[in-house]
Amino acid sequence: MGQFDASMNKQGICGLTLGVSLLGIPATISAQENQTIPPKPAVSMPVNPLPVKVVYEVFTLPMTDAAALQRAGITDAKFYSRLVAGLKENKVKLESFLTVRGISGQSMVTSQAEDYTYPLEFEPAELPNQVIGMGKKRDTKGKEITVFPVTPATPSAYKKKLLGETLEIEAVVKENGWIGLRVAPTRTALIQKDSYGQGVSKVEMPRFSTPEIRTAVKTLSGQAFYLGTVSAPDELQPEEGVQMVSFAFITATDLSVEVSKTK
Amino acid sequence: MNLKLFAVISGIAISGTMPLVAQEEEVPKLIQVVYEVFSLPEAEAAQSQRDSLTDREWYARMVTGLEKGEVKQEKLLAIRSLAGQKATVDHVSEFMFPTQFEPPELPNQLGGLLEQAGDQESDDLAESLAKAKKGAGWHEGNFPVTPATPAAFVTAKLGDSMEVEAALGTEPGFVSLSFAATHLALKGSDLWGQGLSEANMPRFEEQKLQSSFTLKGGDPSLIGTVSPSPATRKKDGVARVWFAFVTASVVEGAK
Repeated sequence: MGQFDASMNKQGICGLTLGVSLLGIPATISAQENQTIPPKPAVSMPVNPLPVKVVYEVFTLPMTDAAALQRAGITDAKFYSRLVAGLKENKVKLESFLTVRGISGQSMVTSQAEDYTYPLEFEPAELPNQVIGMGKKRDTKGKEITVFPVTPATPSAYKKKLLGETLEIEAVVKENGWIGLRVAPTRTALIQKDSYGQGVSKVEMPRFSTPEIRTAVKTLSGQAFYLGTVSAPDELQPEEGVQMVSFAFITATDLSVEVSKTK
Repeated sequence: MNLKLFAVISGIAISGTMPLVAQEEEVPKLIQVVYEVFSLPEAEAAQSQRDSLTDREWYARMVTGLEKGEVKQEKLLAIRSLAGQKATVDHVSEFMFPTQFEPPELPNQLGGLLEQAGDQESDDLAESLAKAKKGAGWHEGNFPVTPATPAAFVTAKLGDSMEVEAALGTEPGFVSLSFAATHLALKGSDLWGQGLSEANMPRFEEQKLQSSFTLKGGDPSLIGTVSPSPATRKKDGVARVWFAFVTASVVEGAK
């Protein structure tokens, strides 16, 4: 790589010298200055990028079944296969399935979401500085009321929220089939809007469901790994009956090994 | 001569430690933390407490009680992380509520309000304004004034959150744990101020356990009670005690 850059630099100097001499300027000027052309900017890509694939899955099942599975003390492979078997029997629901492919050491993001913009700040309702001669009328109950000009509370600053599923991950291929992972999966949903204030000052703020995990783990390439629980909050749990528990699994695969196997 | 001897000894020492280092690299220290909460009627809970059970026996009694329907499993949270790393799990919703309100406002100057009541001019104005009253920028009321406006908000996490930082204990087979589990629920709102200055502020119920301890790997440990607040228990009618168990275990490498 260094040799290649050096030869390029030499060719560049030759080309520059030739061009200058063709323009009638003494070629010795460039030779006298003896300036070297700055090297090309380094590209951040690794020399031998190791391809990695990550699959993130969430399985949901009733609390009683989930707790029994958790207590069973089985291997992740058995845990995973039981959940998959439960899917076929309709006892388990596959809540999320996200996959992303990238390079070892580089951060990866996959998102299945919509951009939701909502107000964070409101300017208060406003009246004119000076009010003269307002209208009067009677309401439905015969009570005399006043009609006057006013502006309602105005949303003045906004924030964006991704509604849906997002997986942020950094995978680093280690020795002996291990893969180091930093994982941050989030599942965001709009539950409802909560009202505050009254009359022209009434404002609404959204309430989001955001079950998530933030952790760092090491897994064996190609094997499903149990990350933890990402259950829905109380608002999205069944009103009656058993609560539901969601188990998150991640499977990271070093694709360079997979490719060499197929060869 | 001495130098040669030193080089040989160093070589042996280095080659001796190398496999150990490599071995440590091979099997990363992963720790799993499972947080479970079980509830049972107060009388039975007190009786169990008096039986002086070990944590393992307590846990077994809870699981047996689940099968019989005497015990209810309230929570199950789990997370895995590398030893020494902080990890969080949230089963929550983000609830935004106001913490500051702009006060109600009046015009700086008022004229021809009460005095003009009944005037022909005022009646005409009222009629014309009545036509426009449903348009933007017009409001009906007793008096030109704006109510209090929510101005600044904060976000509360409603639901269950768990934060752990686990490390291998000094004794083999033990896990050291810094642990915090919180359950936050919205229980209603309280009204403050009066008239146009009225503001509703939410009331939350918080059940929290925050502690540091060393546990035997793989054994469930009773770490405390996280029962609902007295107000909620009174409302529900049946007093139940919520027991929190934590099971921390070292995850075997090739599991």
